Amino acid sequence: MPDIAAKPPTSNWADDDDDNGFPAPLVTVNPDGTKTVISYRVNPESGKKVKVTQKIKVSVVKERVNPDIAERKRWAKFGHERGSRPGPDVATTSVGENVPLKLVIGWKESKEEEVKVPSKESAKSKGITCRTCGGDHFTSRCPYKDRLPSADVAAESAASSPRTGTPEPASAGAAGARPIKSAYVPPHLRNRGAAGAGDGDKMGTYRDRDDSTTLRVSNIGEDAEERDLGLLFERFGRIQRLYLAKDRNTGSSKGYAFISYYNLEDAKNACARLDGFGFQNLILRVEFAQRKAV
Amino acid sequence: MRPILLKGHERPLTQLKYNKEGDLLFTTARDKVVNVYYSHNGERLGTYVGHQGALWDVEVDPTSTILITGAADNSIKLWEVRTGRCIHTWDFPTAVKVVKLNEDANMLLAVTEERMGNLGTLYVFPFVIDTSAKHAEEPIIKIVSPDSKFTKAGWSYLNKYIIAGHADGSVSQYDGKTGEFLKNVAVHDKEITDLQFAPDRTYFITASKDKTARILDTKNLKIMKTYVADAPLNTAAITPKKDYVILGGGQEARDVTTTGSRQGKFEARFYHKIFEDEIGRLKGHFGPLNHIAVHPDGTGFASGGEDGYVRLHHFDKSYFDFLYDVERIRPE
Repeated sequence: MPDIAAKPPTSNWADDDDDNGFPAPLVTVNPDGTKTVISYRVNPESGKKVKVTQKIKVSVVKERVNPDIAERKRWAKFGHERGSRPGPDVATTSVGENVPLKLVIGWKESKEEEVKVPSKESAKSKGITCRTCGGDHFTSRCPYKDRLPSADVAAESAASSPRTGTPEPASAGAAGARPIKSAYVPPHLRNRGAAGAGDGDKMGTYRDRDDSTTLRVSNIGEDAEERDLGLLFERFGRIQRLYLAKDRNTGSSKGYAFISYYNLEDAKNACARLDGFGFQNLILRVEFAQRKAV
Repeated sequence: MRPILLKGHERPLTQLKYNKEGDLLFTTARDKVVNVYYSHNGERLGTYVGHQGALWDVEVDPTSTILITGAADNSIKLWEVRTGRCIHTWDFPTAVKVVKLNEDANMLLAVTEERMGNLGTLYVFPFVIDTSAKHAEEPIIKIVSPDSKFTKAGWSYLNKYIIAGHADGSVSQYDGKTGEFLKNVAVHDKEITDLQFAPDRTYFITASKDKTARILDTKNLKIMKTYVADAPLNTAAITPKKDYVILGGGQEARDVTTTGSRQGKFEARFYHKIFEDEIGRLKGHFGPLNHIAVHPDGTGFASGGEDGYVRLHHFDKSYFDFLYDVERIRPE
């Protein structure tokens, strides 16, 4: 009763908030220096009364600045900049793209190795096979050219090393990774089933490509660009190829894209995580690409 | 690391200079203006307009009151840093390539170009940090260059010596008080393109077109360290706080057709100052780097290129964390 009696004289109509008489926010100071504020309000969406508890920690960050520097920051602009507003002007100042600076001991050697490794891989993936000895170099460059004159002999020896006693070239070729030497293989069928990136082949067509790590992404918005997709998908691993189908005339997206990763794991991960992901107001559909029947 | 790109010039950069506290960055190029930027955010504070030719060098006094510029219009101008007002002009028979203040800011060194019968000359003027003072017209020291012209020069510790680099790759030492010749040492095979002192000025680094940079002792001009690069160098800087040097250069535009290099090598190269190893490179410019200036606190650096851009870098944490194994086990 004393409460009610005391209230009317202290509060005038201006202080009277329209939150139909919620109690004033309660502020308590905790022993660790933080403040807890409990207030009440009406949630505008649901129309329900809500109790809001906020824990506030106030920290003051003091920065010591050389007084000369502080003074110079207040200088008026002059010369060509006379009368310009404070703050950097885009005409003279812009932020460049991120450039990595990684300091390494023996920088030069590490750089050279990086260059060497891919060249070796690419030679393998191109599927160059020597007809004399079966090594991954051109026949004309074979070091055993003079010593191993016959292709059949080489095929035999290549076949017999991983398996035991199957001199017939046909069966060896079917089981092993290398194609049969004797029969002609058209260029677009060469290197079939080779793991990893087969797209380096000059003669290869789309059919030749290894699509096991390729995702088909559909239901993409019209405004989407390859860069946006790249940013989204490269979180899951290194992207080998990204193709966004575009209308030839308007240049806008047709709504589907193909993305190939280097690693199958990354592709699986991306497929699992991004299928049903909301992207530019549409929900993406991500699945592994199906090869079109030839 | 995200660099800030400063686009205030239309021609190749020639010189960058931080003031003593490192909050202002002055840039000069072959166009006729000097720009000054705040180094923390790249905001342009102003320009100094008045020169009639390309600018070759810029210097600022330790209190950031007066700016000194040397230009190809055969003059040195003094400017009030705060307002951009020109307060004095010295005229010379040829272009001014170098202007350098000593540590006390009471002597100003200037080097003029060798041209039209005039030999390259090194002048020393008295200097006062006062925008209203009358500056002496006559130099107190005048040194005419020997056979090979001066390209760069600077003051040693305690203003004891004047160190000058020559077009033939040698380095000379003169007495700082009298201008008397003391010593000349052959250091490089080709022209010296830059000469920057360590913070305490007891040693300095020279960069040369012969693709090397060397650290020399100021007192006896002994070669202490050599850094070998794969392109002609235009600039070399010593970083405070960490024991690195940053070299810049690249294939000159006019040599592109005559050399077999596949790319220009327009990168800032980081070498360890003591171990002389290359430890990293920083891409960015698409022309040779003309000058590199390191923040006096060692927290960042600015590079100016032939492409007309200044790139202002603030180092990441990884830059400061990088240590050699032997440095890690160093006792505290």
